[in-house]
Amino acid sequence: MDILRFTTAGNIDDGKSTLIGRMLLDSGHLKSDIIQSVSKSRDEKAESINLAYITDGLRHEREMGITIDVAYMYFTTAKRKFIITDAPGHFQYIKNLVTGASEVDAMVILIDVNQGITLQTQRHLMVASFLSIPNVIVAVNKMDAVGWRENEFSAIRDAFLSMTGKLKIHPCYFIPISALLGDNVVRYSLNMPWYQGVTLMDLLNNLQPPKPNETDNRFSVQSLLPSDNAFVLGKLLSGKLRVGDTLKIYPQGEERMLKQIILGTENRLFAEAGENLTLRLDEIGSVARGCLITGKNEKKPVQLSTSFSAHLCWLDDHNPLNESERYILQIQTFEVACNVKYSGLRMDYERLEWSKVEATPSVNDIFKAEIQAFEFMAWDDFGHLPETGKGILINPISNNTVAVFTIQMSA
Amino acid sequence: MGNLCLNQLESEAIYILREVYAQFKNPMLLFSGGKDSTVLLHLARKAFFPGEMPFPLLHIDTGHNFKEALDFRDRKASEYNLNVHVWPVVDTLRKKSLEDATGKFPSRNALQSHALLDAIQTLGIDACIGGARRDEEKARAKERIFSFRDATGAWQPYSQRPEPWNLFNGRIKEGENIRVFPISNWSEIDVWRYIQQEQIELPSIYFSHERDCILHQGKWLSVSEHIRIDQGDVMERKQVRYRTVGDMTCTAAIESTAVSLEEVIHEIENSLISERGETRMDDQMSEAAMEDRKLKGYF
Repeated sequence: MDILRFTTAGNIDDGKSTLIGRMLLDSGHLKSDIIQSVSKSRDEKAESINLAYITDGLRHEREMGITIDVAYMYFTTAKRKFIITDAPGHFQYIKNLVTGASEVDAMVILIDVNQGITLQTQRHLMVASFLSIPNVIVAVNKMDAVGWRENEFSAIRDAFLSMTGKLKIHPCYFIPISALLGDNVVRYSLNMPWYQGVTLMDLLNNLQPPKPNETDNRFSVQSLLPSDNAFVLGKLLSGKLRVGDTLKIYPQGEERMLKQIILGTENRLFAEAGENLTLRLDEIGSVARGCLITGKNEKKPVQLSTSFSAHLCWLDDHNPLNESERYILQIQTFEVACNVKYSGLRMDYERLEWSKVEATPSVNDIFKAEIQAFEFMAWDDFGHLPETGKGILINPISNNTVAVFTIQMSA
Repeated sequence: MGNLCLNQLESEAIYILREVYAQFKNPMLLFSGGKDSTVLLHLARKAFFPGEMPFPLLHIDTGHNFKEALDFRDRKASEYNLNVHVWPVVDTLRKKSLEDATGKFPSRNALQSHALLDAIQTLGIDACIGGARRDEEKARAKERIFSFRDATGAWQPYSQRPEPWNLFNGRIKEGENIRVFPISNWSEIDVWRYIQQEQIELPSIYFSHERDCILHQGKWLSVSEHIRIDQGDVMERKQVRYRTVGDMTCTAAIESTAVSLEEVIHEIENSLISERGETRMDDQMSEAAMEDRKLKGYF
């Protein structure tokens, strides 16, 4: 059994929370007391159970009937544990969608068959493209409202595919559903015999999470062991390590010998990508939090520079980007002060392409910029090694996380 | 369940615990002797092996605890040589001239927030590590792993800090604090399977035993000096265990004959009722009971 993380994105009233409620209900994961409390919730336009109340956990969300921030939900099948991040659809909450969608293996985009593709759908697609989400699933909802007809479904699929051509979007799947009635969510629909594909649940059950990169060795140092500074604590982000390897420490460029690998409470000869490890080196010296450790001879060595090009998504709803402000950049555990120079190119959510806009980017804008740091940084191209090719910007005055970025070698 | 899922959850928790150590000056681990904080303690010891676990424990002691949980807390503390701060809720009530809980089931659950904030301020704690999980309750389902609390201790559910990827931003100003929830993504069953996999010891009340109880609104409450027994109450000796361990005043026992981890896991897999729904009286007072408590500093 493994874990699959997916997010759900949709317009207001597309039935996103209803879909999640349906998945939990039909897979038998809603306990009777929760169903009872949901039925109890005040709801004027009520059916017997308002499935959206299951995910909208905050008072204002229930009162306004919208999702404001991410809700995390869980269910398991015989095959895997699912982590759902139910993310908001409204434009003003794109910043919360970025949090909810940042770690997922798949994004389920919900489209109301009556509405078709909207500007909101395009924004979700942009976020999927920006974060490079490995799988995009389009669930065309409310098929019951159009007499379960294939034509309406195909029209949306074709329009969607013509959009994805413009963006770097990974495998796309299309499923006609009715979240309200449950068709093709967990149970096969008898109403749409023309659809030969799988249900949403079957698809999610069989989706392959991306395999970690096993060739480029990158280890991020979180800290030294509290009571014994001979040990380094951190995570192997990609690649493999083996006792006896000669390692290179960045940004210093010094070499070390790997003497011991501990995983949990056990000694290991090898370590694999994704593991949190305790390493003993022949000498600690200047190794500290923020260092990136690689092999001595990497096929693709880490980049070392004081600046790079990046795609940013601005998350701060109080302050727009300020080019003369000093921000703190964080890549994994590495932190450094930096400036951000806006390139003048911003994503046009309507036309799905970069367009020239002079005004300074503000909240929810995706744009290109040059990040100029005050010290050397070790990094990789996001497209090649996402773990060391992405980061956040922090405003040192408010302490708020104000942007996410992905590093683009060929911007 | 194969190990892969538990390994991934463990790995995530260990990463988070190490981030807490690296980012904060005076973090503490909230420990009550319950199963979730016991798992948390196990993870923290594993995260810093072969070194010492660096977090002192903090127990906000309502005075209404199960004796078995307190004994367990003290035994673990001495076995692992841990530094434990026990913070009695009554001390804070006295200090701040707050009224104690009254009634048949005088729950100090909401008053705990005052004691926690008092402890945070007095001890200068900048991060509290807690064993809360998102699957427990719908307001908890909305919370970040690094959950920012302002200088009054309040959660700000409508303007939470973005938390993309695994990049945790724990920066705070003087007086503010962060609540950290390393097992956010664990479900109840994950916790039990992990306890089984790692052979983690728990207080005995998690397993079937005999106990004098009274029936109140369909729930079995243990007879103790902390609740008021009225004339109409019928006392019965029941075969029970606890699915969660909170205060004696608001935690109900469930009828069970499960004496081993295998049996407990089997029971939970087949339960038709959620964990808190079956055992907690404090969440059921209103639709937003947990959200309201969190706004006032609850963990």
